Amino acid sequence: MQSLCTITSNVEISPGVRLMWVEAPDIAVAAQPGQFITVRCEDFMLRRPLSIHQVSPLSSPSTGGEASPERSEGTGEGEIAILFQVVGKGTLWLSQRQIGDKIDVLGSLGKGFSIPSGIARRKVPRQSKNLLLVAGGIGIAPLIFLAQFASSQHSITLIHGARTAAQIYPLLPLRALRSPCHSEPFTVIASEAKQSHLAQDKLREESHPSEQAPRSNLSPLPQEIRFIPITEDGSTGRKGMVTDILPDFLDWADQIYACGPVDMYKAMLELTCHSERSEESKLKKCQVSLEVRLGCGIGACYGCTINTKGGLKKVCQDGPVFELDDILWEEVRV
Amino acid sequence: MVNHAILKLPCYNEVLSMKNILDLHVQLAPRHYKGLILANPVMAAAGTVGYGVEYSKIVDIQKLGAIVCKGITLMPRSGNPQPRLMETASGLLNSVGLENIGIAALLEDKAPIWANWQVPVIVNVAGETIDEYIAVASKLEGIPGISGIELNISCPNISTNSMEFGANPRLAAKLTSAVKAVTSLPIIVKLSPNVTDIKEIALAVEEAGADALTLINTVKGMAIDIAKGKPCLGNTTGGLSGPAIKPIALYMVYEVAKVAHIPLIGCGGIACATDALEFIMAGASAIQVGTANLTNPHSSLVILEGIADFMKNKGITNLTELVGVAQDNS
Repeated sequence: MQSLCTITSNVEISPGVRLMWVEAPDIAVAAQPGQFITVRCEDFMLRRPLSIHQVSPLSSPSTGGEASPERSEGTGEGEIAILFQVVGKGTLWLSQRQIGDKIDVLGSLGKGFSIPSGIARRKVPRQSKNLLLVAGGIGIAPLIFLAQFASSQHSITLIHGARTAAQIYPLLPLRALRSPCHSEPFTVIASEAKQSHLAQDKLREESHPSEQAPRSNLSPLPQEIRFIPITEDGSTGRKGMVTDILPDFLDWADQIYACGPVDMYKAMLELTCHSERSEESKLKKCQVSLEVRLGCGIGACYGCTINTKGGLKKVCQDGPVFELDDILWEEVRV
Repeated sequence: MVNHAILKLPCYNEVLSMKNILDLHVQLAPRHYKGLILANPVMAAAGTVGYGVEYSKIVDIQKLGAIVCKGITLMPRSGNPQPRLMETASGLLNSVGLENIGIAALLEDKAPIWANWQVPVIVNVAGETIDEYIAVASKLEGIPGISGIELNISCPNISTNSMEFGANPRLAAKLTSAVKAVTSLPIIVKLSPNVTDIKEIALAVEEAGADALTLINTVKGMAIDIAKGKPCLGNTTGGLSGPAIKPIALYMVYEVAKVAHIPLIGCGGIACATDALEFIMAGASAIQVGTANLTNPHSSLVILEGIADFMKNKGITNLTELVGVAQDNS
């Protein structure tokens, strides 16, 4: 659970936002979308919680844990990525770590997103569902992992809202709506990987010209995913807030996943409540990832308890993912 | 027949065998008819390791001297509103407010787990009235898996009388003897630093029958969000812990050690073996690690290692040789 992990990559992908890959084979194998890690930052009392943004498990089963000889250097296997915004002294310290530095990581922690099973079972036909992912700003972090995790079995639309174009996750251009066609998933992903490689190399040239870039760090979103950026200043995608366009997708979506600021959740609650078309069903099918100040991260210190319709819950252990309508939002202080 | 090949294994085993001859045992309740012997002086402080089971998934907590579970009350408590935590310079403010599952759930869900543990579990008992303390302590009587009681007369985060127990020598003594009368378990009293003269309180509860003292609980404090113009903590005030309070705690242990006749447990900002040794040299027989568990779940075990290494390097075989040495040398 707790280990010293070597940083293999650390780049600024948009102003103040960093994408960091670390060697963590155990977490890469076990992590579920929506789970998080905590990182010890310098001498700060509290470890910083960070959503798991992507994982790259070992392709062959490991026999010896982290020091496994099967893990070949530079492949990116057995690694996890975190995507974080520099918001204070702790994340500033973390952003300044170099490739090869080791950081103290605890994880994977918490209860992540629950994803409807689309796995084909005997005598039960495979059912693909429409998943709507809603990201506000840096809230994109766990949703990329979720999108990658669920895309082979579900139809996914990912809305990413930000203030301006530079803050939009720099991965994909606006995509045309596609039906979830799984006929050639592997060739599609392979071609995406190639594109991403180029994009990543370009990124590295811009931000860290001296670094060697042996591999891609920005894993692609599979092509089945519809990516919709929306910015407050209209500099890319549509102009507005995610909640402005959300109503257009409520009927399409079987399940909504959201990660963003509390104000976004409160606005979503209004929307889902007032959407006549989908009043009943959508309210019950929206999972949100909540961020509060965490102490231990493992459910021992009771520093992160919130009140829900189901009683007291520890964000670090019972969450960070909750049903939108389970949380008593009037008690949540921003 | 002894296998000499095994005896000649290299230095790691020599280190181990060296450690084996170190005597780290602590008798925390010499006045008690059953006593309370810890395998080593490193304890987990109340409130930071929950009920122990949470950390047992990450750390081998069986190696600790003892675990003090989260403060428990007669009925479950929901605690204070968010935010409950606030980092400060070298410290942490908390206002959890004694959120806990209540004594009934503790006996049903946690004690059976502890009964299978090697490490002694001490239950931190809190309340708002003497009767509540008595009720909780009575229910702990004869329960397998519970080795002692730590009376929490000093939590700064509940807006009732508990702090007054900790601040008033007469009330503190009355509470201690009342609980003593209903339990056969050793009683440790955890003292508040938020008092004028901690020695007076220490002597009062010692006389009332306390078997040992824990010094100190958190120091009352607060922080203000200047952007919002309001206190940072949901409860307005909280308790300060972490390295920021270590010198305060150390001083109080040093002062109380001059007058007390029962073992002291040092607590307050201990984050490394050096910190722990300072407390031991000031007069503490054992130490508790609290906030450092949040920073690094392995802190307690690292501290234990460090104490053993220090003794080995100094050629000290018995921990008791170190207790209070700074008193003699000052």
